[in-house]
Parts: sequence; C-alpha cells; structure tokens
Amino acid sequence: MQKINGNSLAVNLRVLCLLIPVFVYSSVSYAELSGYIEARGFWPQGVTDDDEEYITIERFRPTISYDHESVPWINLTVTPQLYFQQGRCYHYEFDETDYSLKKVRCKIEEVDDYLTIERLYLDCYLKRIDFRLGRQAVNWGSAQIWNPTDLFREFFLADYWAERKGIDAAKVFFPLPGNLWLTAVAATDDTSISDNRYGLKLGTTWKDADIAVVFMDDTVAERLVGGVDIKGQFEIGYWFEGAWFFPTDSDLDDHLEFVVGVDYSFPLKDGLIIAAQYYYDGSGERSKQDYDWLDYINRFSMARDYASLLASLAWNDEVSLSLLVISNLNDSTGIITPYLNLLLPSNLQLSFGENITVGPEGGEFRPGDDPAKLTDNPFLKDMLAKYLLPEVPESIYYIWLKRSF
Amino acid sequence: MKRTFMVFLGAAVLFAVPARIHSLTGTEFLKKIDANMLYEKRTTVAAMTINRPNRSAKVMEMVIYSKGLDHAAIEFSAPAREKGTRFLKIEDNLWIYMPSTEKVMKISGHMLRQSMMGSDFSYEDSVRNESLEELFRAEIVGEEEVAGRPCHVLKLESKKQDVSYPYMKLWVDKEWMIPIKEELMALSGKVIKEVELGEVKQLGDRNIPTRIIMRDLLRKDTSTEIQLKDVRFELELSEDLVFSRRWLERGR
Repeated sequence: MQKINGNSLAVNLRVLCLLIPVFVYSSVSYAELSGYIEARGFWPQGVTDDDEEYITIERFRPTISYDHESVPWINLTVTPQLYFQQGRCYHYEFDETDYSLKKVRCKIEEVDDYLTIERLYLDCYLKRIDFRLGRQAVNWGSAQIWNPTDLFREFFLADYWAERKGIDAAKVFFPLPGNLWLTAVAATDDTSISDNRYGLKLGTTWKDADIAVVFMDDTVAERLVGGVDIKGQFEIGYWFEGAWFFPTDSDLDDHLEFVVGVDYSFPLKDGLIIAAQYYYDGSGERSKQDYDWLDYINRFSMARDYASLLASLAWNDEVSLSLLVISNLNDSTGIITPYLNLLLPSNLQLSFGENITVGPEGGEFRPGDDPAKLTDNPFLKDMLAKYLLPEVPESIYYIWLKRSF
Repeated sequence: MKRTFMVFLGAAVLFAVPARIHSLTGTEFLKKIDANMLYEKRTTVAAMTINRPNRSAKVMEMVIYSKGLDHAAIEFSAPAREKGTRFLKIEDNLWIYMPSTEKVMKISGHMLRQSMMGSDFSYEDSVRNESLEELFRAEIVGEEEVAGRPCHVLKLESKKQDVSYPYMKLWVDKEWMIPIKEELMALSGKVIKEVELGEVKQLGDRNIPTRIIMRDLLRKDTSTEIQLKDVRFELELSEDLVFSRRWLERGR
C-alpha cells in the first residue's frame, strides 16, 4: 500500500501559489481534467495484535493540466489527492520514559493528514530539451517488481502497480544525435532539502533492444550507483537490469544487484503472457539465520536470491486473470497473488485477489509467530514477539473499485 | 496503428483505375496498390468500436500519426480509462506509455500478435507494414461483386516465413483499386481474420474508405470497427518529435 505522504504539502502549496498566477495572468487557453476516485479494502488474515482486522481506503485523485495560450511550450500539471483510511492504521514512536515503542494510531489533525499534493510540476518544452520541475514521478527500470537502476525505488507488497510517490525534482530530457537520449534528474527527499539524489540515464535503441546506462549519486543512502538496463526481443522478450552500489563510506561493502527476465505470450483467449525473473541482491543474506530482523520493515528484501513468475490471461477485453508468485529462494518462503481484474462500463474497474504467504515458518515472507525460529538473541526475540510478528499477516484479501474520469 | 489498418488506410487512398487495369498481372496489381499506399505523412483522427455479444460496444478514440511504412504513433483520447495511452512504432520496435505508470515500456516482440486494447486488431497488424509487392506473390483468381461493387479477386501468398498471415485473399474494387474485403489466413489456409472496408469518401484526388471492420474469427462473435473521422496528409506535430521517445513521455 502507498504511504500517506503529506509532509511537503505546505511547500507544494506555496509553489502552486507562485505558479498559478503565471497561468491565470490572462485567459487560460486549455485546461484538462482527468483522474479517478477509488475505494479499497484489505483484510489481513492471521494477525494477532489487538488492532482492527481490516483496512479501508478512499482516494480521490484528480489531475488538472493547464496550457496557456501565450506560452504553449509550457504546461502545468497538478494532482492533489484526498486520502482517507480506516481500520488498521498506526505507527510506532519511541517513548524515552520507559525506552519502549508505543503504538500511535493514525489521526486526522491537520490538512496534511488527508490532502496531499502528489504531482505538481511545470513542463517546459524547448526546441532541444524538455524540462520538468516540481513534484513528479521518477520511475526507471525495465524489470518487474525490482528495479536496481531506479533512483527512487519503491516496493509495494500488496499493490505492485501502485502509482509512484511524488518526488520534488528537476528533470531534463535531452534528445541527442545518433538515436541517443539523456535524462538527468536532481531530486530531494521530503525529509530534508539537503538529502539529494542525482541521476543520469543515457539510452538508445540498438536493433531490437532498448539499452541504457545509469549513474546515480544517492546522498540519502550515501552511495554511488552505476547500472545497465536492457530490454529487447529475440523470439522471446528479455531484459537485464543491474547496478553496482558503491557506499561513499569506505567501511561499508559495495554490492551488485541485478534482475534478469524473459516473457512470452500465447494465443489463448485474448492473450496469455508468462513472465519469469531472477533477482540477485548482493547485500542480502543467503541464510535466514543472518537476516537483520530489526531492519525488516525498511529493507526491500532480506535474502540474496529471488524469483518471480507472472501469468496473465486476458479472457476478453474486459476480464483478465493473473497470478503473481514471488519467491525467496534462500529460505523457500514466498507470496502468491491470484487476482481478477474487471473493466466495467462507465469507466469502472473492479479488482480483487489475495496475497498468500507460503513456505516454512521462520522465513522472510512467512516469519510465523515463534521468534525462536528467527533469532537466538533474547532482546531481538522480545522485540519481534512484541512488535513485528503479531502484525505480519499470513494472507491479505483485497478488493478495489475505481472510476476514471 | 496495426499493419492491416495501415494497409487499409494506404490502400484506401487510390487513384481511379485505368481502363486497362484488368490486364494487369497479380504482381502489377500489388505494385499499383503499393504505389498508391505510400503516404509520406498522415494524421488520422479515428474512433475504434469493439462490438461484443451480449455486451455494450466499447468505443475508443485516438489520433494516429504515420510516416511512410514503418513509423506510426497513436494516442488514445477516450475512454477516460485509456486516455493518454500512447503507442510508438518504429520499424519492428513498439513502445507503450501508460499514464497510470508514468513510464515508457518496450513491448516484447511476441506480444505483437496479441489483441491490442481488447480489439480484433493485433499489435503486429501495425508493426508489420511491409509493401504488399515485397511481401506477397499474387494471383488473380476471378471477379466478384462485393456490396454491389465489381471487384478483382486476388490470392496472395507470402514470400517470407514467420508472418502473421501467410495467405491473403483480396477483393479489389475495380474503380477505386481499393481492397474492400480481405480474408487473412494462417499457414493452414484457415481464414483467421476478415476485413471489410466501406463508406468511401473523396479527399482531394483520393478515395478513402472511412469505415474498416475487422473480425478475428478465433474470437466469438466480436468485431472491431474503425471509423476515420479526419484524415490529413500532413503531420500536425514535428516528425522529429512525434516518432521519438520524447513524444511518448510528453505526448504533445
């Protein structure tokens, strides 16, 4: 699920106030409204804490795009989002009085708690370059689920195709001679203006393949990253996306991550697509005894080797059935997600499915409820028993209904 | 868009047929059709309607930009769910931009034979847009009337292997030299798609069918109709822009 992301609302609203007069100085020549409203429900199974056993979310996410007649090469895009969540919703805060973690339930106290600005950017289309300034999505990489060359990586356990979080960034796209193109991005984290990330991506199409090399300077994670992203076709579709991560702190080890995958489609109904991937994370552990469970929430992954399999059948132009399997090859746990997607009249879309954890207890996706299976450390056992294990579901049913406009 | 659709668009824009046309060989027919199909640049506004049994029709609107035989770009403007989805085809490569992911993705080659956007057209129908003369050997097999119009009937056999339609049968309008009906066949000779072209309108010195209906016979009782609302033999956007990744990302 996507986290509520409102801490830069005030900044964005100030930027919006600065930009809007530019567009309303005289008449606005063209304004376009699109977007969606949706409701989602999640029912985690197997949680044993004392919190609610459901999550419901309502979102209203319009996008307004403005062109001004006197400056047709400039476009302003604004995507505010109203977001309400009920049921399980909390975070932990450290209590210095007794050195414990206290569960704090979500509350609506300020406008930031339900209204966020997800996109707010100005596009400038110049003769030789395109420039985008403001809160935008930065979404790099050809692989599915895992993208080592992505400047801002996100991993949604229950919603793999959710929209990316908005990033305050400046992005430039340069078409270059010889079928080359270059994208440069400078971005900041919401938390601090000094936490910056810089990325360069140089790409081309050679024969039947898109090839790109990527360089990133991530001052947030304090590392330099060099990567390659290739997606092509040779009878079957294939891709390779890999990056080497070099910590700027010389005490830390560098590591390699890569994803290699193939896909193929079959003429069954309106098309059956099978995609398989292998993901290697050199910073992960081969043995579950070595997992850093204190970092369980923060890490994208804990192990070294993963595989995924996606089968998607378009039954007809309205109904599709999919099955996604993500497997941790080191501890033999995984998540299986069967889901059904229906395109209904009136621009309605209905989807429902389940995330099911599988494998022996004690692994990444199925830690179980016995901390002794995870660690020998008494302190860590206590922490896991109190805070983590009661909250990790065995499966999650979900349903969502979306109406586009 | 799809190859077949582009072939139809191309074939549609033909000059009136000379009186001696009946004496042409099959290859000469194809050469004439190809000669008339080759547009330097074209912008088409179209509506695609997918008709399904027991369900309401699904209507999609789009703008198609094309240059020559191997450059095409499509942007969907309706329905709201598909609005802003863009395809770009350059030679045998196809990319898609979806607003929901805000990302340009290359579509793998094998996907090209699957249904595009749930229609009776496949992705490859647009990608494989070679010259009929280069791709097929043709034989004139007779004359028939289609929708009251006299036609030459041509049987086409592919010169290449690994093509979607190794055999085709064309009903070429004697006056317009437009295939107004086509049967697209598999290697076994089984007809897998049927196409009708109609509502021919004159645009300048060209005759254009503005209604194209395709039936994928492997599906049950569906058909996809493309209605051409506006055809201009020019690009409304710079060709350096529209046939580029830059256009996919920004869409204007």
